[in-house]
Amino acid sequence: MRVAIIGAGVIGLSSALCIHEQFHGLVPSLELEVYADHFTPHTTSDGAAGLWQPYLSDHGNLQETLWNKETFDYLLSHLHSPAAKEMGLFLLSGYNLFTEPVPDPSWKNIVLGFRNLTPKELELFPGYSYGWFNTALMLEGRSYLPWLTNRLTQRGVKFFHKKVESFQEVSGDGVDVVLNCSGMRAGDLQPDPELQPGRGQVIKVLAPWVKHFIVTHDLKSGIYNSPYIIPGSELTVLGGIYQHGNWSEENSAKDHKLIWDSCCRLLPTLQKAKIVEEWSGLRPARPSVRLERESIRLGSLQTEVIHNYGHGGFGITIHRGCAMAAARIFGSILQEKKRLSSPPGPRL
Amino acid sequence: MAAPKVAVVGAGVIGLSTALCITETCPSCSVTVLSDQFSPNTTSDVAAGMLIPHTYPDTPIHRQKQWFKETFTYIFAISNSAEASEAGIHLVSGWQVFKSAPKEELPFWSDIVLGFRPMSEAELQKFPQHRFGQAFTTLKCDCPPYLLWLEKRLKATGAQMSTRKVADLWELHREYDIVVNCAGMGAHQLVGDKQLFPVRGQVLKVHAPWVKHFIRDGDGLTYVYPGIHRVTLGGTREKGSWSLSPDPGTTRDIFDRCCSLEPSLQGAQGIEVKVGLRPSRQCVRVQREVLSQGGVKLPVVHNYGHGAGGFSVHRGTAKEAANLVGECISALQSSSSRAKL
Repeated sequence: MRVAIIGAGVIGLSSALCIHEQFHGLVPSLELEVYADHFTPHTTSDGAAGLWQPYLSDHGNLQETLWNKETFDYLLSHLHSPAAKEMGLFLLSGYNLFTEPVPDPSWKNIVLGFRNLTPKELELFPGYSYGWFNTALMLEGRSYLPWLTNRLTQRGVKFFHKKVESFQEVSGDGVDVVLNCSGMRAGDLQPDPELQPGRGQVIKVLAPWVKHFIVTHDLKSGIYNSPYIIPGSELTVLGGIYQHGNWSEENSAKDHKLIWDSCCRLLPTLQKAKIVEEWSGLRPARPSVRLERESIRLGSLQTEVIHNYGHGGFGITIHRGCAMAAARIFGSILQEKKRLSSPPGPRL
Repeated sequence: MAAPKVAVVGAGVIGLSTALCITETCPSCSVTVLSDQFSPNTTSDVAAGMLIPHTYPDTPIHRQKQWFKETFTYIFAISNSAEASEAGIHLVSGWQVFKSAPKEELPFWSDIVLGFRPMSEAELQKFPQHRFGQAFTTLKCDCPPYLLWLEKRLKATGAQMSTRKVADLWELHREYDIVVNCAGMGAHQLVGDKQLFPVRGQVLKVHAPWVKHFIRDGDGLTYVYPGIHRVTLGGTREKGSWSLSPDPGTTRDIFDRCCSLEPSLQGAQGIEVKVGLRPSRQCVRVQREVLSQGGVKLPVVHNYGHGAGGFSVHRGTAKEAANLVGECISALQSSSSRAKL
């Protein structure tokens, strides 16, 4: 049984791993193949800072909140494992800042030690009058993706550096199930007007004295359009750009200045930080994650496609929950196929 | 008295911060820091520089609290400024964990550090061997950067720094009007203080940049303190030991204890071992004295014996010592004007 995964970002690789872990024992002929035009360190997941933090509100989408929780709990359970360093996984505490009181987020009981900021703490952030402190997790794409790739390679999963132009391309080749984890490019495989780029730009600096994340919020401008500072294991990520509908992956000098000025205002000592890298990427934004099965008839063949894309700016945050859900869909596809292919019994 | 000449003996965090306070309270003073060691070779350079107070048995709590509050406020202001990284100052959050219920539920400094609260059950899961915990955010003064920054501030005021081993305070009476004794462990020899004793501390400084939180066992013996470039792993408290040589068995033991608090430290690189002697005393000696020898008087201000809590109270004791220097100057001025009558 051949399964093709399109996309090698955090969604594609983690979905592939979940499926292999759960089903390779049950389906001896299971062959997984990952197809992607970009591999680590050139995927969208590599550009992200890697902070586990959903958006402020889940807009009643309880399913996504559950997937977020599943991911957090999964990562937390690996924190003390010897693999943690290789995975790029570690605890990180920090501040979410607002200019007015806001309701508690859907994830307040998922993270550790969630609380409001004290007046003394707010003195650190002039201009902000309200905020939260909590302990969350960092999962750095630049380490996690190679780790996933190694686990998959060990399991015999094959990788193909190729831009898949259509589902036919893989299904026509004898593939039974296709996992569509193509992120921003999903529209190239099947038009989806709901999928839009949420362009981001970040500056990566050397500022090892920063030990907390600081994410500010401007409720009028929307998510990630307000400065944020996220310290990684080597570099600190400065950001605060979210441009809906902008497809440019070129670094903009105007955005650079905006990020730099606003982050230095937030943390004056950043002025001494050395700039190491700059990167732009497109968050695959969608009103909700598309995680569903679709049977596609292509000529005489029927292929099962499992869509798993549209994770916006919270792909790392939600990845494991979605990968497990994709694996469950895969399981139900297997069930059906088994029923269909089982020989007629003596009951007749 | 035109420009009182003040000698500060000692160039660790106490000597440098006291000298700086003196230049602030007495701008007309000429201040010279004399020490056989400067950063990176002082006891302060071995310490992690965490602002978590040590309790002195014989100093009234309100005084210790005042010293800590003064220090925390001062360092907090630097952390909030553009100079923070140059000064080696940064905020750090973390946990103090206990295997058995702590003696005091709320330490005297709990309302001075930021966000102090008991740890939740979920947070305590990270520490399976511990049953209670406190979470808070405090400040760290990384050395050498902090000491070098103090030296830079001092030089900007015109203060002098000189490498010199002072064997006897009386050596200084001709050149200086007032001597400030911030000799730390050196005071044992320098002023013959038998109440001062070393508490040997061995630490490891490792490269583990993914460790962003401090972890401290409430017994004070095991701790993980992330600095700008290195994480300090500790430690030992060997009362009465004068040995400055690293002990390999101790290194192994510290590493194991810290790994049980923070398993990811197994992946730490580049272990550097350091030893410091905490200049310990039942109470910090911040005191004025007038030494007398053959009709000559030498005003002395003592500021030593900070033991395990030097960084936590350095600014507070430095200010108190600077005020005492001010008193010495007033006394000298009134006695010299009396002499003129």
